[in-house]
Amino acid sequence: MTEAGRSVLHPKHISARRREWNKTLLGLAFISPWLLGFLWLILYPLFASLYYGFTEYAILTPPKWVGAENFITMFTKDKLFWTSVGNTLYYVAISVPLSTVFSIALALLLNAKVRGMSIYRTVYYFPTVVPVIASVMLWAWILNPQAGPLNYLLGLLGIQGPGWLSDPHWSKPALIILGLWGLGGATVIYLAGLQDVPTHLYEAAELDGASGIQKILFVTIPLLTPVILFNVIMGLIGGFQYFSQAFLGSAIGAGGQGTGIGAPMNSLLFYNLYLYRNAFGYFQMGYASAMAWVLLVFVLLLTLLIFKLTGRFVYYAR
Amino acid sequence: MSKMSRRNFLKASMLTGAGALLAACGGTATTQPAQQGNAPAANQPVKITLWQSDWGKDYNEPMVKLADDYKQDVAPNVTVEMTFLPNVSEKLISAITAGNPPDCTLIDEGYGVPKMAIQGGLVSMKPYFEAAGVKKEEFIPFTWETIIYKGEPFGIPGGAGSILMMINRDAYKDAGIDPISIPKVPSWAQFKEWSNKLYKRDSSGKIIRIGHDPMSQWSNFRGIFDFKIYDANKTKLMINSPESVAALTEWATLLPPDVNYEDITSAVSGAPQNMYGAWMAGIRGMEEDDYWMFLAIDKYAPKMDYFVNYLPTMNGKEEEQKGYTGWVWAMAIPKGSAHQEEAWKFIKYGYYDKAEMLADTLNWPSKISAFAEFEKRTIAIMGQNNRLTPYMPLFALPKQVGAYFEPWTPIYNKLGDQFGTAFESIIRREKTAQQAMDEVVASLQPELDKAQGTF
Repeated sequence: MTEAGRSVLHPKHISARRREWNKTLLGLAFISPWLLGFLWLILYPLFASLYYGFTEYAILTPPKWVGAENFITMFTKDKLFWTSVGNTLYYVAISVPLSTVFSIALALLLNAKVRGMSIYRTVYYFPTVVPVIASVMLWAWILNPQAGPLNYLLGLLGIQGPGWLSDPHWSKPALIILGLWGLGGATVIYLAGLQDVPTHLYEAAELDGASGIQKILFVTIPLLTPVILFNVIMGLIGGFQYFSQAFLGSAIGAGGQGTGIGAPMNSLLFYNLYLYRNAFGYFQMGYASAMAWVLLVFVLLLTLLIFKLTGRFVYYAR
Repeated sequence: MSKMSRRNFLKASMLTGAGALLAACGGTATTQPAQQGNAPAANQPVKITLWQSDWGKDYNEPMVKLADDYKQDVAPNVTVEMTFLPNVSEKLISAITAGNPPDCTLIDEGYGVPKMAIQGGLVSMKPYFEAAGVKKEEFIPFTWETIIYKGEPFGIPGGAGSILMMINRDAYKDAGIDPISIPKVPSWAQFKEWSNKLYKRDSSGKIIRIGHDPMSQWSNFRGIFDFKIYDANKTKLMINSPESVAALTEWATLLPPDVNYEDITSAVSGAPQNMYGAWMAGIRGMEEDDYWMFLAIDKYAPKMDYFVNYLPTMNGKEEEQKGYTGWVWAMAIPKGSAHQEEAWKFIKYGYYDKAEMLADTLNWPSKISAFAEFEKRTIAIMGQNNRLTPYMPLFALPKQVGAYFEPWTPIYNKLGDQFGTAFESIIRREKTAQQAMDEVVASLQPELDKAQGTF
């Protein structure tokens, strides 16, 4: 006890800094479930994989430090690495712009004042909720060279449809078409963005004699650019991580031959698929970890570059 | 809550990050020491977990019968719980790393046993084999190599397979091939001739029937060409040697000059998706597999008039049948199995003591002395009047005389993948056999060099 009967532990006697630290600890305690999950399931594996990227690691045996050997092999000796990079860039370069254009077009259509629009919106969004495996199996049937409806319709137009998933020249376009089927998610986001476009701008444009296309080009699109930026970045990240559809599609393209990974003829050997094969097929977890970090750094740099260019292309209404 | 000071924030962040970094660098995956568990008391209920590949409902269900037979005949207190999974070896390695593997596992990935053994993922069977008197000579020759790593067995050969020709009489007659004229051991030239004759087009020129799909079964035919993969010491890849290239070039001539491989994939894609669907629908004129085809044929093509014949040899001679080969899956015990002894007892029952019981699972035993009893048991299952019954003895011969097999090295999986892609490029006429094989060798010879001494 001290003067006036107050305990030495009375708050008055605890320094302000100590009080602040106690409050900090209290806050950390409240977020600790999330924090522990983040540390254990995200941050630890992240740094672990960085370490493993510099090792030869076969999962069941201890990792052996090899320095930058994995990275050197990747960039200078592994031809399949470049095949996987090429396939992934092909997919991203075509699917992201296409899906952006089609999503915007779809959103503009679904923004029209038409009776029963909620039904149309539901129908266009529905493919987004179909599980990946189910959608690939469905499209494997649609794209079946012999019995599929797409080649049948092409045949009616006098065009002989290609082999799609079983043809190395058409397998990636087949997956791009499959991807366009699931535009509903991005469309909904564009639709929300369209609600934010002030109507007075359209009225002003009309007064200036703008046509429908001009209104879209000079009013809608500029004001939609923040949403486009978001969807493009998400599309790029998703594109570079493309896996499930390629995994299933290549099993179908292989027709039961071999492992199927990347078939036919490595045309579907996407980056993540090759990473997976190295990790779980060849038990080269160190090399796969190195590949994962190369992908991370590349996507990070690309995203930073895009953000740096936003000043030129993105309009934020203030 | 008052605003956190910058100093405290930095302190907390650094502590967090350092902790994560230390945890990442300090921790490495270590396998749990083998937890054999205490041997259960006699008659105490025991559950053994077994993982195996998902072969589809038709072929999964018979596998359960072996477990039922074991429980009934030998160990009423033991229940074998089977789990059917795709990509078993990928899941297995994760399970072993986590210290939670199944008690035993069926590995049907080619050379999956040495692949796991080199990582220390499997229990050596050597002490078990020595105690039980299990010997190499008792097994089909091409199966034994698949369970060996550094001279020690890490699994036991289970169901073996080798292919024979399944001939649809109607398709052959339609193609102008007299089925009666087919010799017991055809030559490669005859086989190729039939394959070419079986191609059929409709009025628009679209292919509606093919002969032998050149992408199919190369691994079972390559012994006929004596295709060399490595040199004798497994130090050098030989797939681009003049003899190997000649073999591949000759094989590629199975695709007629006026047919593109896209035509074949297009024709076959319209077939029913069940097993052997394209052959049973008459789209594939030639099909090859082992005796278990009878199950699918009885179910999906009960009226098909077919018979079985040996694969060709280069010159149609019986002494060349040593070029036949096959494949096998193996049973193994993962490191960390909780019931290692019980698992071994089950494996020994099903794949050694009573190997003929594999008849119940529609798998051919690898133990040669079990063949006779196995055939009787299988015929009892198939029925005396089954269309395949008269041909059962033919299925035994390739397993008894076939001596060709692909040796294992640590580059086996990569070689399989890269060879497969290169092989496809040859069939699709995008590269010559020499170009394709040179590329594979350039890619993998350095890895083989690096792996010397590890296997």
